[in-house]
Amino acid sequence: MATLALSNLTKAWSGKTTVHGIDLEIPDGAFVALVGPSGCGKSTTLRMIAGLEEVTAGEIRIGDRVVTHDEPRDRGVSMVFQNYALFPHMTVRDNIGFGLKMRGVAKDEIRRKVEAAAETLELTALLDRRPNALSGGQRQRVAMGRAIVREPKAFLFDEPLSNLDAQLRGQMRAELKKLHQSIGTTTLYVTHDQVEAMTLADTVVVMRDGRIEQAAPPAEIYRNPATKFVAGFVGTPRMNFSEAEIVDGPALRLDRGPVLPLPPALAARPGMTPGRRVTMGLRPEHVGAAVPGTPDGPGIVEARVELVETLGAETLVHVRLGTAPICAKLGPFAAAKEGETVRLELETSEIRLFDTETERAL
Amino acid sequence: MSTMVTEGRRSSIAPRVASYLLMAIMAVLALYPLVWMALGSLKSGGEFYTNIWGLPADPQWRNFPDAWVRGGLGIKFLNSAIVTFGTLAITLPVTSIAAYAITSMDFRGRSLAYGALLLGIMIPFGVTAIPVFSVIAQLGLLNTRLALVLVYSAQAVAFSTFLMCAFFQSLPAEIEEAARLEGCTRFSAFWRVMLPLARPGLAAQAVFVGTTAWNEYFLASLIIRDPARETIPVGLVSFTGRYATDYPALFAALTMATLPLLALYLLAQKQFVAGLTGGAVKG
Amino acid sequence: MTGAPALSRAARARRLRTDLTGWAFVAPALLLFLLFVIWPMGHAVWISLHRWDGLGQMAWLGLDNYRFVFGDKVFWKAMHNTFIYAFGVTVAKNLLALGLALLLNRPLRGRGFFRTASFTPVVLSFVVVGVLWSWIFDPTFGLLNAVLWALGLQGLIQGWLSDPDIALYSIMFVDVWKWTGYHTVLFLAGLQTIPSELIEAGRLEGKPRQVFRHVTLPLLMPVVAFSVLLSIVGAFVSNYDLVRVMTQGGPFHSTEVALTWITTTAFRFNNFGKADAMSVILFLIVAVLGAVQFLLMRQRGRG
Repeated sequence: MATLALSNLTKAWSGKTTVHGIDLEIPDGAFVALVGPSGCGKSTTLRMIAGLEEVTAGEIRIGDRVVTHDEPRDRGVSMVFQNYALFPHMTVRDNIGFGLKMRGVAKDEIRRKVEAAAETLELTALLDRRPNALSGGQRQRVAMGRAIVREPKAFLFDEPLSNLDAQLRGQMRAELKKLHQSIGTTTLYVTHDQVEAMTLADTVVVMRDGRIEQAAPPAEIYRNPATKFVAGFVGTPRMNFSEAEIVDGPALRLDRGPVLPLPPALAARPGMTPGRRVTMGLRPEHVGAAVPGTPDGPGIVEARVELVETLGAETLVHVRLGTAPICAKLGPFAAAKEGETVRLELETSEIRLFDTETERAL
Repeated sequence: MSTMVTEGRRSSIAPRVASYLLMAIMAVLALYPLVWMALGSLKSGGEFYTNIWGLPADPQWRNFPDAWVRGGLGIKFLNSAIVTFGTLAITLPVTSIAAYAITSMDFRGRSLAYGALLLGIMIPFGVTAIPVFSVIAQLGLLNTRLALVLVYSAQAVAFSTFLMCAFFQSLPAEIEEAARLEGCTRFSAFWRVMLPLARPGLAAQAVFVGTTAWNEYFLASLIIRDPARETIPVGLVSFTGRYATDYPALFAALTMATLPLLALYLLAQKQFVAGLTGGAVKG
Repeated sequence: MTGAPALSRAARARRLRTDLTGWAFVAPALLLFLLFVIWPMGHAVWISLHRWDGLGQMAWLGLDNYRFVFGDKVFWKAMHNTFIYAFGVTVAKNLLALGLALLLNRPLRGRGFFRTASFTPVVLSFVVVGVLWSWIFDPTFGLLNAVLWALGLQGLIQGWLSDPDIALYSIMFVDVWKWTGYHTVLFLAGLQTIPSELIEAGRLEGKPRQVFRHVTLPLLMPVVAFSVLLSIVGAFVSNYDLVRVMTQGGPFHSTEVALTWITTTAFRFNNFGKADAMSVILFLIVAVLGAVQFLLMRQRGRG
């Protein structure tokens, strides 16, 4: 086990830079998820760490060794691929033990370790099968067995669950979490699925266009997104955004919409001069139905219902405030109907503001 | 609706009959000469002229040992086997490791290397026979089986590498990457993982390269002068010249020369058809 | 990548290691190919500029050998025959094979057997095939004339290999016989990649003939192009074995093809200079044909 540190890690390929000088330090034993839309450079970053892609500039450090230009086999990391990349011509036993064999570990020891890993992953009964006789979930577990048996300094996961169906994915997610808790190896996990990232990781790193937008614990990412992009990428349904302007108070007027009070912390910030253009963000769960009889006041708005989605545990009500479409996450039996007018209560203390130009959080 | 069905059925009968008829004619055309050859090999010298297409009245089995001894077929089979297996022993490893490098290694000049090899696919080797003969003579390799092995391998390199590249490209790249992360060098990733996975591709190669080498006549006839080093095709032609009048023996020799490949073909039809048409059907 | 600012030593070391390993892996293949395919052709150009009997001293001749070749009537006869052979055989093989493949591209019982049967001659060597068919064509004891006699078609009985007017065509027939099954399999494989919905959709719209012209044929074109390329280039080469075994180029050079004449020039007349000049000319012709075909194929592939 070891820390994993990237400094100014850069990848340029035929004139195009796909990773722009990333700095990231993963403490020993941490579970970090690298998340972002496809093409954001997260897989390239992972592959550079594994040694499968050449590094254009910058440095990769595993433990106290600089491995930037080492061969993959000399880095002491193991990787689980999206398509598992099991060796089709070997049994499960040989697949799991392959890395140990290549490192010259004695046969008895390989056997012992493979069987122990198989025990942990409930693969014991399958040890003599070939990969093509296994289900997707089983193959996934074999890939993990191959990764853990070598006791690597770090695990690299490249979208390991995206080939599984939704139900199995949830189950494997829980197993992965348990596994990490029991062996505690430093882990870097690449995914495009923010739910996976949020549920698994100690630290979520959101990437976009080859740059890190924010690296923080899941709760922090969710509550205090550093940029509008992060705010919109994390959370379902997605955060509501509205163009707005600072008015006297200071308060906030949504374009052609109501005036809302600003949370004290934001109101106290310098630069909140009237006339400044900003983007407001407010998560759907912070838009609720006003309790009947609540007097008009700050944060109480009326709006016409455009669409209702009943999801069982919750009801999503889509309205329009000024120019912006707003989604409200209401209780299971919210009695909103399309075309009706509803009274909503916005939790204005949860309002986030983003600079319209830079999209950075204020 | 019902009229359409009957119409469809009526119109499909005629082509079906025509198909069967054509199939039968083509099958007879393709196979009868071979049957005729086998029957001829069992006839006596006299019967050969009088009973042109009947069954042999009194099968002369000793035509076979006679032809075998007189044609020195034993040594020729051995030579052909040496040349064929020698060619395979060079071609298969050499082209598969080249294809591995071309498909999964990002080394500078790789498109140059691949381009040069692809050029070879366009060269009809018969045209180079006399030039090749001169080079073989210069190297002092005239009249050796080694010369045939080298030249056949060289001529197989372009197409085989091309086919192996296509094969490796069809495998997920992550398998090779996983091997290297698990501790393989480039060579051991090739040897322990990629090569075993390439078995179907190698089998197709073996059929294609092996059949070509086994059947090659032109170069062999130029390079090999010593009857003790002749391959089967060269041996058959000399046999034809020397025993021009002993037709049953000649036919017995032809039959024996045909049998090994024919038997292999019938046993492993799928692999043969795939191997001989491989690149074409996929490409 | 190339513009990247000064790579560190470790980076350059890794790059170099990859380059060296890569070249080491392709080296054996390239070496063989260069030594026995490319070098001989280069060497042939050099020899073609000399008078050389294959053993003794070479004497510089400049382009004289090429002048001799252009003045050589037999060479032109042989080239003429080679072209007739290559094009005739290509057209016949591909048309026959296409027709057969279309007929067979339906779930017929016994299709497997037919495929096995028609592919059998492909496996045989040209030498075996040539010797066998020399006998089938034998004027007195041959199978063909015996069959014609039995069918009452005495008028058709020929000296199949001894009549200068038909000997070349007899040899071409054998070539077609050997290879039609091969091309049929190619076309069948090509036809099977065409989605049947497309054909069915076409059938609802038009007559079978139109479906073939506007749906099947365009989709089959890449396979057709490949098959034609294969047979043309192949026919320039494979004719040597058959002609050598069946007629030795006779009677009266009526079946002489470029390769047999080149070989005769080199080994019978000990004139390697001229033989190599002919090889170079033939090589260029085939290279042009191959290139044209390759470009056509690429264009089709893009279209």
